[in-house]
Amino acid sequence: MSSNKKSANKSSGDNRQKYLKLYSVGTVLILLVIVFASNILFENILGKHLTFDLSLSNQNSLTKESSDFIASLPADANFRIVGLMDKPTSLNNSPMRYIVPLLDDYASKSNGRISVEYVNPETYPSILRELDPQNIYDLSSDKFAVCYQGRIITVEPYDCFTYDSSYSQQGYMVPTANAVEYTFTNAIANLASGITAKAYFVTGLQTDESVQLKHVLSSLGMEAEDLPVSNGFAIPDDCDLLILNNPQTDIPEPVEIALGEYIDKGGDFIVVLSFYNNVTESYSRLNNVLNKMNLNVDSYVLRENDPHYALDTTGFASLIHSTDGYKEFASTDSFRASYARPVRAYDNPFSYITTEPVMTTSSTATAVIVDPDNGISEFENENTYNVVMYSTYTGMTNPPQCFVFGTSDFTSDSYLSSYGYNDANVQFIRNCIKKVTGLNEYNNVFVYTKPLDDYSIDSAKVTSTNVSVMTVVFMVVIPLALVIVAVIIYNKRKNL
Amino acid sequence: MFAVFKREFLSYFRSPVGYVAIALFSFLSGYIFINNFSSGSVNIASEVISMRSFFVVIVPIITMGSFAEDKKRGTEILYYTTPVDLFSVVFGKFLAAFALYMIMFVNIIVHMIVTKSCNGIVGIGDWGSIIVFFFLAALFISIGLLASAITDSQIISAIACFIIIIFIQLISTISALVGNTISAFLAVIGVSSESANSIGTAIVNGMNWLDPFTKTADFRYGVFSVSPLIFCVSFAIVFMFLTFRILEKKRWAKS
Repeated sequence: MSSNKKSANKSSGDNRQKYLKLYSVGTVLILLVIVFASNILFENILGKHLTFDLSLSNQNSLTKESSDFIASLPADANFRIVGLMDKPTSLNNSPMRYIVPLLDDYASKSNGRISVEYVNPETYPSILRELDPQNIYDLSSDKFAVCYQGRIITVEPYDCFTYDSSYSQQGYMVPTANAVEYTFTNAIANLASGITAKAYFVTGLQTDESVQLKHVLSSLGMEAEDLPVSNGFAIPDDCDLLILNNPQTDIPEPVEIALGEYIDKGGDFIVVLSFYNNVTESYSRLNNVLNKMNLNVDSYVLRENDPHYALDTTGFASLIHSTDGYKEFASTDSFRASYARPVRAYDNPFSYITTEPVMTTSSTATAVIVDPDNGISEFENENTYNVVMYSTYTGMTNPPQCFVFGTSDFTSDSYLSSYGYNDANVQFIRNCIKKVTGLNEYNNVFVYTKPLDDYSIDSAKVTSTNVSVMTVVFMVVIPLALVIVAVIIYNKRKNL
Repeated sequence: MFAVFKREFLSYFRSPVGYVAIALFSFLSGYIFINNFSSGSVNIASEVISMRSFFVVIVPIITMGSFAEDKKRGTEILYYTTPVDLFSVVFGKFLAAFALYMIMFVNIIVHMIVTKSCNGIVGIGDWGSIIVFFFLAALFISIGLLASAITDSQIISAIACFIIIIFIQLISTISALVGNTISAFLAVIGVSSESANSIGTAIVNGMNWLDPFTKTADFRYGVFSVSPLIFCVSFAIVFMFLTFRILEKKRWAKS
C-alpha cells in the first residue's frame, strides 16, 4: 500500500472517530436537555396536580370546609403566607412536617389566591419592612405571617397543635391534635372579614391561664390580652369582650365598680365559675355585678342523679343539654360538665333585662351544699338547674350581653387540651363568643382539627420476649444464614 | 435482553454477592424495624424511606461486577461480537440488579406482615413510599452500572459508585456550603448583602433540585407526588444511556 493510500485511510478513520465522538457527545447532551426540560415542565405544570395525600388522616391536604371557603374568596384576592425562615428540608420529627405539605396544598388549591413563600429575615432583613412598614406586628424568625391588604396575623408553629396538659405539667408537651389547617384557614377568614376585635382576660384572681381559650379566640380573629387586677383597675375602651375565666377568689371592689360601669356602657363579657377547689367562695361582689344582668351564681355544686346524664358514680361529672335557642351552637346538644355551680335568674325587677337558660341539667339533678369543716352535705330538691345562662338588655342600642358558665369545662386549659378543638364544648364556646361579639356575621368557617397519625401497635405484643425473638430472627438468623450460604458458594466456586 | 437478564440475575446467586447484599439489607432493615417495634409504633413508610440511606452501601455491592467483571475476564467481547443490541445488554443487567432489589424487599414485606399481625397500620401511604423506593433503586442502580462500565476493576467501580451516591446524598449539605460561600464572597467584593444572599439561595435551590433524597422525603408523611418518580426514571435513563454510550464507544474503538 502506498504511503498516500495509508494516509488517506488514516485520515478517513480519524474523521470517522471524530464524527462518532461528536455523535456520542451530541446525543448525550440532547438527552440531558430533554430530561431537564421535561422534568422542569412536568414539575411546574402537572406537579401540583399529580400530588396526592395518602396520609392516614389527610394531614397534608385541605378539608372540604377550607377548600370551599378558599373557593368562595374573590378571584383577585391575594393572601400571602410568609414563613419567616428558610424552607425546612428536614421535616422528620418536627412540627413542620404537618405544616409545610399542608401550606403547599393551600397554594396549589387556591388558584393564585394564596401564595406561600419562605423568607428568612436574618438573611433578608428587608422582608420585615416589606410586610410591616410601620412595625406594628410582632414579626420574628420562625413564625408564619399571613398577610392580606396590609393586615397581618402571625402564627407560631407551636400554636398549630393542641397538647396534653397533664403531660405538659411533667415537662413534656405531647401534641394531641393537628390544628394547622384550623389555624391558617381561620387566619385567612379573619383577614378576609376585615374585622378586628380584642378580648381582655381579668387576671390576678387565681384565674385559669387560658392558653387554649386564647387560641380559640385567635382562631376567631380576636386578639387577647391580660388585664391584671389592681387598685386602679379599668377596662380599656378597645375591649370588645371581657372574660373572667374561673377566678378562685371573688373580685375586689375596684373590679366590681369597673365591671358595673362596663355594663352601663354596653360591654360584653363572659364569666366562668366552677365549684372545683373553691367550695367556700360565694363570689358576693361578682354576684353583685351579675345581678345587674339579673343573674346569680349559687354556692352549690350540682349533682346529677339521672344515670343517663351522670358520667361518674358521684354524679358531679355529667352531661348537660343546650336549650332550644342554642341547638345550632354545636353539632350535638349534649355537653360535658363537672363540678358545676347552678346559675339562676336573680330577682332584679327591671323588665328590660332578658335572661335565658342556655344549658340545663336533667330534671332530677340536685344542688349540694358542701360544708368543708365537718363534711356534711345537704341536698336541695331534685330539679332542672341551669348551668349556663345568657343575659342582655332589650330596647336599647348596643346593649350589654353576657354568658355565665357554672362550669369550667368550656374554657379551662385542662379540658380543652384533653378534648381538643373539635369537642362540642369548644364548638359551643366559640359560638357564644361569636354571638356576644357579633363575629358570627363575619367568620362562619369551622375547620375541624385532625387527629395525629397514630402508628401504634398492640402494646400487649410489644414484650421484651417478642422484641428479642425478632432481633434474633431479623438481625442474626436471616443475615447469618445468608452469609453462611455466601461463604459456601464462594468456597465452591473460587477455583472455577 | 432476557438472556442477559437471566444470566446476570443467576450470577448473583452463583457468587456470594447476592447473598451478602440480601443479608446486609435484612440486617439494616431489621435494625430499623426492631427499633420502631420496641418503641410501640411502626410506620412502614418511614422505615422504607429510611432505607434510602443504605443505597450507598448496597448498590455498589450489587453493581460493581456488572461490567467490570466481564472486562476483567475478557468476556465483554461477547457483547460486541454477538448480534445483540448493546442497550439490551445494559437494560438486561439493570433489570437483573433491580430484580435482586425486589428480592431484598421481601424483608420489608415480612415486617409489614408482622406489623399487621400486631394490629399496626399498613396504609396506602406505605405503598406510596414503597413505589418511590423502587424508583430510587432504579436511579441508583443505573448509576452503579455506569460506574461499573468505566473501569475493569470491581473495587474502583464500587468506590466510584459509592462516591457518586454519597455525593448525591450530601447534595443538600454541599449546596448550603456552596451557597453560603458564594454569598460571602459576593458580599466581600461589594455586592449588597440581600443580592448576594439571593444569588446564594438560587444556587442552593438549583443544586437541591438535583437531590432525589429531598424530592422524595415527603413520601414518608404520605405525600405521593408523581414528579419525583419522573425525575428518578428520566435520570435512570440518562445514566443507562451514558453506560450504553461508553460500551458503544468501546465497540467502535475495538473495531
